[in-house]
Amino acid sequence: MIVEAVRQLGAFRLDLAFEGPADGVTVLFGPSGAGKSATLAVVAGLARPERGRVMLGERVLTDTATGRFVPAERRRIGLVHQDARLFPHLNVERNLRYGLTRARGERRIGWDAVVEVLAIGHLLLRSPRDLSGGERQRVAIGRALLSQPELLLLDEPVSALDAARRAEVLAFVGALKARFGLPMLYVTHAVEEARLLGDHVVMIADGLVTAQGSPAELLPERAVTGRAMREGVALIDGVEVAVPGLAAPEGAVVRVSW
Amino acid sequence: MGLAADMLTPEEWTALTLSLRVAGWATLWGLIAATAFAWLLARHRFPGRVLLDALLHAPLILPPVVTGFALLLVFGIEGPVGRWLDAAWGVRLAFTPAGAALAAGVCAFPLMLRAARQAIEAVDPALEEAARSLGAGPVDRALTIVLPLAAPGLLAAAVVGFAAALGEFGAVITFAASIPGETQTLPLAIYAALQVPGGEGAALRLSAISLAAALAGLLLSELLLAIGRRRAAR
Repeated sequence: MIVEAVRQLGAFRLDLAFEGPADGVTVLFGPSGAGKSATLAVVAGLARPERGRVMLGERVLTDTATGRFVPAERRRIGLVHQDARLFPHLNVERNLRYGLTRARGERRIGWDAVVEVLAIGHLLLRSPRDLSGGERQRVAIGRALLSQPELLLLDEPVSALDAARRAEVLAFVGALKARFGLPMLYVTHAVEEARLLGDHVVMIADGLVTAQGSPAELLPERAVTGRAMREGVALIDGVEVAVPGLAAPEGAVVRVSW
Repeated sequence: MGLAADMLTPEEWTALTLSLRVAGWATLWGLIAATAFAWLLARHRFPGRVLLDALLHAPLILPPVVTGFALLLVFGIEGPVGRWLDAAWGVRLAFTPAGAALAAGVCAFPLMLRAARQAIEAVDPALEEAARSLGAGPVDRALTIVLPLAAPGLLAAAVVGFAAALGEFGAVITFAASIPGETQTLPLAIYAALQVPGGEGAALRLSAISLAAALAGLLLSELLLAIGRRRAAR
């Protein structure tokens, strides 16, 4: 996967180039407003860059030099957002079939495998509105997989979920990686997700690539010692830092790693 | 049926059934056109969009007689489209029931367009984007995502359109005239009854029928909406 894109969006300028491995998970990592979603839109074919190129294996999907632009519906790229975007008028089964019946070419990803790996068999006849947030995301991932994509784009798929649901969905994404060997582009601003899932990390800030490499190189685990201030806040080097989940008594010495 | 037929003279009965047919056809073609244009205006940006929007609303601001006259100029026997229709297909619209449906539909069109546009704009574009990434092209998306989700709003548009078409007077009488049994719909029949000395009784009965027909349309749509909601809730 090769992505090169220049896009001007108001005052914001996206100007980046990166290459992801042909299989495995490429993590697009950066703070919000760094240009992650603008990049995904270029890859998915929902936006045309002013200049740029998107290649998936041998297929040229966007090339402004030759004017080539494959529309999103023919890219064979699955898309999962933080809001599941399930079709409210269709039940889970018909949501899942929506992409499957429109899939072109060989069906490498089977119905049974997807239903089993994502554990959604018991949800098939339900309406999307009767699902929990985590279930919705699993169905959205399943729906994208069954459209037989050659690349799966995940745009902060767990950021709208609480900690327990997040762990649940992340475990399923990890299972997909092992089961289907499908290349994925995973967008996140959470270090833990990048470490957990990433084979290759592309760090971006202000529309530019600042570093690329393995998670171990770019996101080494660090730990510091500080003092608990109040619930969820620690004093580290004289600075109050938010530490989600911290519940030590005030003044206690805590070790924070991230 | 028997009761209604006994209460009405054959002429009045004809005016009622003709009115329902004219308003039904006007609503059908008007709603299809309104939905297509509403989709175009709600989801696309193109040069001349504002102009098209204004043009489509013209029947709302023009006196209906002017709309009827404009239809005569275009679709009349001597009009460019009218002459072509006659020569190519042998179809005449002016002074025919089909013409009455055209005139009534044109006048009801802007109302249906507004309601349809609201219904389509209320469908989350993110869902269309999702359908796109799943391989659905523009027509596919319109049919499988936008239309089903906009259906209740489109039904509301149909009700407004039906009521407006049922009551249209100026455009129908100008374009299709007031031929009993051919183009004399309820409002035209009421007007004709009032022109005759002692016709107030007939006018009153026809007015009551108009009210009943409009109410029946409203109730039918409420019923369809309730069924739709129940199906959606399952």
